[in-house]
Amino acid sequence: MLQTLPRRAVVALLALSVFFPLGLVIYQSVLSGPFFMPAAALSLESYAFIVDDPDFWQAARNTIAVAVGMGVIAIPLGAILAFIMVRTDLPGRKWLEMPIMIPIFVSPVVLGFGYVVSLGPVGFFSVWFAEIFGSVPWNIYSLTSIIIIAGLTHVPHVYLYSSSALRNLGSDVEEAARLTGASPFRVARDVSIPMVSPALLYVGVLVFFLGFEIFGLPLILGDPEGHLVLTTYLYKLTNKLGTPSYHLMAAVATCIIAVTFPLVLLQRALLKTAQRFVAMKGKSARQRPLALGPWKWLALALILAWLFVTVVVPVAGIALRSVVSSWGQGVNLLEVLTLDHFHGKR
Amino acid sequence: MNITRRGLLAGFTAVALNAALGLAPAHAQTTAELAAAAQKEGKLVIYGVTDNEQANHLIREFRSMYPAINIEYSNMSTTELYNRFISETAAGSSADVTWSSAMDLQIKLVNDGYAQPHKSAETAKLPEWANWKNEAFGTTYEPIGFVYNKRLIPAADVPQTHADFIKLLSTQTDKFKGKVNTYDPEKSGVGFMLVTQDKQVNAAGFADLQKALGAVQVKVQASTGTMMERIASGENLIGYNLNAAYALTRAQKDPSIGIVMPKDYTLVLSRVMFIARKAKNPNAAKLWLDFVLSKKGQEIIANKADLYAIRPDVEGETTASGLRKQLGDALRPVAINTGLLTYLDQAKRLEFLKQWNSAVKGK
Repeated sequence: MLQTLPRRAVVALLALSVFFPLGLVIYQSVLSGPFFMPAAALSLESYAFIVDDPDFWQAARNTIAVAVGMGVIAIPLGAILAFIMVRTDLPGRKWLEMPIMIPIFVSPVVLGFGYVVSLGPVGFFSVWFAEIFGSVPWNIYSLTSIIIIAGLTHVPHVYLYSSSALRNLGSDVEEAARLTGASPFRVARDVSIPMVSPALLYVGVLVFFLGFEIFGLPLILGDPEGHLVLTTYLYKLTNKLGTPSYHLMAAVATCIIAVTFPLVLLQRALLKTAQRFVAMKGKSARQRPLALGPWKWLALALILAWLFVTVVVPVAGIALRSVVSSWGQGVNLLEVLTLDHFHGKR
Repeated sequence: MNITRRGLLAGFTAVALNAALGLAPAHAQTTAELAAAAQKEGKLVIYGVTDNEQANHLIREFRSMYPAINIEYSNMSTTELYNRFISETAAGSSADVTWSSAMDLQIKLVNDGYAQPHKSAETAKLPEWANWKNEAFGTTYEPIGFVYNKRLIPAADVPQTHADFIKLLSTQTDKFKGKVNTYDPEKSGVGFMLVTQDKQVNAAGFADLQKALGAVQVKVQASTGTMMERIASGENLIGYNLNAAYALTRAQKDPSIGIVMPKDYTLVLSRVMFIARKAKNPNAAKLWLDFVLSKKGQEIIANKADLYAIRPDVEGETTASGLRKQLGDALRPVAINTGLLTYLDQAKRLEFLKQWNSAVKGK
C-alpha cells in the first residue's frame, strides 16, 4: 500500500503534465481566438482555414515525403552500419564509434547553416567544386536535398537500436553461414539483419515519427524556395495573419498529433511483439567478429564517405565561417580571416 | 464626471502635501519627483526586440544615472513579444514597457487599451506623427533601402531610385535571376508592413515593382540577418526593403556590403515604445521613456546603438536631421496611428498576400 500510493501519485502527475497541455492544444484548436481572451468562442473556423489553405496541403505532402524518404535512407544504412561495426573485423572500429554519433548531438539548425555555408550556391565546397568541374550538380535548397540530409543524419538513430539488438544475439548462426561460404554481405542480408528485424521495425516507426516533427533542417534549407513541412507551416502561421494565430497553430498541431499519437501506440505494440519473438535474450557468450577479408576497405570507405557528407562538410562549413568576416563568390578567404567572432565583437 | 471619494481624498492629500512642501500644484510631475518615485519602485521590466548589445548602451547609461533602479531587459522577437505581453497581461501583469519595431502590433496593443498615457517635456520634442495620443511613441528613425554586394555589382549599376531598381532588374534579368532577396511578407510582419507602405506611397510604380521582382524570381526570407549574409556571400546580389540601420552595423565590419537609400522615396520605420496600463513600476517606466527620448538617450541611440535618432534637435549622420540633409523630402516615415491597423484585418491581409503571391511568385 505504501508502495503503490507514491507510484499512483507519480503516474497521476505524469498524466497531468502530458495530457493537460495536449488537451489545451486541442481545446485551443476549436476556439476562434487565444484561449485566455474573453472574446474567444467555440468554432471550427481554424480547421476550415487550414483545409482551405494550399500551403497546408503542400506542407502535408512534403512532410510525408520527408518521413518516408528518411526511413528509406536511414533504416538500411543504419542496419548495415550496425552490422559492420558490431559483427565484423572492420579496421578502426573503436575509433569510429564516437564520430558516428555526432549527427545526434549537433543541432539540426547548426547542421542546416553548415550545409548552406558549405554546399549552398556560393558555399566553400560548391565554389571549389565549380572551379574544378565547371558547375555544381546539386541544389541544397531542393526538397530532395532536405530528404537526403535528413535521412543521412538519422542513420545513427537506427544504428543505436540495431547495434544493441545485434550485441544481444549470439554469433554462432552467422559463423555457420560464413563457414558454408556465404559472403559477409550475404550474412548481413540473410542472417543478421532479419534476426534484428523487430528492432528495425521499432526504430523505423521512430524515424518516421521524427520525420513528421522535423523542423530545423526544413526551416533553414526549405525557406529560400518555399518548401514547407507541417512544422514550418505551423511556424509560418504565427505571422501570416499579422497577429499570432493561436487557433490556427493549434489546429495544425492537432493534425500532427493525430498522426504521431497512433505511431506511439504502434511502437508500443511492436515492442511487445518484439519481446515475444526474440528467442535468445541476454548477452550471448560467444561473439566472434566475422572476417571481412578484402571487403573491409569498401566498408571503411562507405562509412568514411557517409561521415564526410554528414559531419565533415557541415561542421567544416560552420568552423570556417566562424573565422572569416565575409565569404562567398569572389572573396579570398585568406584576406578575411579574423578571430573577432570569438572576442564578442560583431 | 466620475470622481470617487478615494480619488478626491487622494487629490486633496496631494494638494495639501504640495502646499505643505511649498510646491506648485503642477500637472506634470517634474523629473526630480518622477525620479524619486521611480527609485522607490527600484525595478523596471522591459520587453524589447532590440539586440541586447544595442539596448545595453542605453541601459548602462540609465543605470549610472539612477543606480537604485534595476532593469530587467528581455530580448525577443516581435511575435514573441506580442504573445507574451497579451497572455501575461491576461494572467495579471506583464512588462512595464514594451519596445518593438512591429509598429502595427504595437499600435494594435495601444488601440486595444493596453497602454497608459504619459506627457512630458521630452515627449513634446517628438514630431507629431511619432506620438499617438501620448500613448505610443516613436523612438528611432530607421531608413529602409537597398543593400547590395559591392564586389559583384559595378558602381554604375547601383540603383539610386525605385525606378532604377526596377530598370536594373528588367534589363539584366539573367544576371539577377534568383539573386534578389526581400522579406517574405507572409512570414515577416515588418516585411509585410513595408510592401504595403510601398503600395501606398508609390501606387503608380507598385505593379512594375512586383513584375520586376517576379521576373527575377525574388528569394524571400524571414530575417534581415539571413538576407544580409546571402548578399555578403554573393549568393544574392541585392536586397530590397532592408533596414539600413542594421546594414550599416554590418557594413562597418564587412566591406562587401553597400547601402542605398532611394532618392525618390525612402521609407522610415520607428521603434514604438509604450508604457503598459497595468505596469507595476509606472514611474520607473515613465522615467525610462523620458530618458530614451531625451537628448542624451537619443545621442546614444544614434552613435552607440547604431539606430537612428528621431529627435530633431540631435545632429549627426545617423539621425533624422542628418537624413533630412541627405534626402530632403524623399523621407517617408511610417506614421504611428491607426492607419497601421488596416492590414491586421484578416480578409484584407489575405487578399493582399494573394495578390502579392500571384504577381510575384506566379502562384
